[in-house]
Amino acid sequence: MDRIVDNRAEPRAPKSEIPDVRDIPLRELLLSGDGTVFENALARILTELDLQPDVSATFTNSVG
Amino acid sequence: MIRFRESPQHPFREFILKVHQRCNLACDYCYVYTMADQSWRTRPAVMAEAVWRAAATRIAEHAERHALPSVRLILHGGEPLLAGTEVLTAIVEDTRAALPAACELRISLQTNGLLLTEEMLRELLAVGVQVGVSLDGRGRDNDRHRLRPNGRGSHADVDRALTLLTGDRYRGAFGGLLCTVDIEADPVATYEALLRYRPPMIDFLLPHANWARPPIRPVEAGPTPYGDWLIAIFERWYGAPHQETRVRILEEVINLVLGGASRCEHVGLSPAAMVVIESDGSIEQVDSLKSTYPGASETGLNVFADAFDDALRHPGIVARQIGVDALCDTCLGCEIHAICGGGNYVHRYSPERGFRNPSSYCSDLYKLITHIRSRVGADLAARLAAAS
Repeated sequence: MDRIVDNRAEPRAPKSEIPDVRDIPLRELLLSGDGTVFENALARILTELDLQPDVSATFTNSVG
Repeated sequence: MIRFRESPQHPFREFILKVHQRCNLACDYCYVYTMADQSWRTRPAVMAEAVWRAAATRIAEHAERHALPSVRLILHGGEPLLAGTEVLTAIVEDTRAALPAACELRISLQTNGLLLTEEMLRELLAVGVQVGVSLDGRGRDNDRHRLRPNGRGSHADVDRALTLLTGDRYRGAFGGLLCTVDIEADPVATYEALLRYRPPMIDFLLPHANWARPPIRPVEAGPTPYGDWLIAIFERWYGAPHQETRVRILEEVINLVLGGASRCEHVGLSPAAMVVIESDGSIEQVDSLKSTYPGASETGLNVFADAFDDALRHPGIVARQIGVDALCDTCLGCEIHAICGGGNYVHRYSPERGFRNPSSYCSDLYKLITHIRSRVGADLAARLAAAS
């Protein structure tokens, strides 16, 4: 469907690949506030994980 | 085999109304008019009031039954502005009036922009409509495919509309830009031409293709021209000192790489939750299925007789909600299947095996996703090292 809005009602993360980012110590230090795409993506994913306690996610395994 | 009874149902949250079946453009790649399904020919040109009122009642019923905090109504076509603002605003107002008080209505309209006027924008903004515009980059690139029926290009008129929409008065109604990938065009020049309008979001769409009608791959372009094209844009977008806009397909891949979830149907395994109401009241699956075979999007249901819950039980809808269970063995054996999700569902079709195939863009998606994963992974490793 070609349109500019989101269309996944209940986003489903690829759970199997990812440990829990909430276990990473000093996660606040990951954000530098530099305004880049990477920074914003990181901030967004941290927020998303906070909002979805059932979504277990990790950075380390999924990006290696 | 789809495990039908075991599948949890996810209510629809996005309702696409085909308010007008015709278009004032004749784009050569359009899945509505130039591909397998030609059902637009037999449907009413404009959605009648009885249809949108029945649709509004069904949406409200669905929202109430599933206690939805919000739903999105998408005014779509053909070209929805051909219906006129009086019809469009009436649809919005009637839908809003029908919904339970606890359910927020979000409204979008996807247009080619040709008919946008200041008066129209004022009225659309007043009822809370967000306007997305389709544009394929620079003038000569856009006008290679997005043509008027007489063969004349459309870029100049879309540029006029976007100048109006992106001015101070109406910028709040600007939803973003849709651009169909054209590997003949320079990718970075295309991105920068779109960026000129300061869109809140851009999405790049792969031209609809499948295994019976595969993507065009000129020999000289190499084995992954679409992946390469999107990677060039990724590097320009991702490497900017400050984020200039959102690019949906790229942002979704990053989200998935970082362990998040996709919110669009290009990638990922999130359940799809959109449904189409045609101008005659038929309830259908996503209309991009029209690119595969005649009748592919049909469900046999309509808003006068059937609830949206009935559509949730349709095998075609179920297949879009069961995530990994809908993937073929080739995809399941791929290391990035949870990120790719088999790509856009419609791009998997083959007449022999239906939709249980890898994407006809498989090689391009693999290259794009592994590139992004590598790039984001390196940046993440650097951040983690700096933070520890």
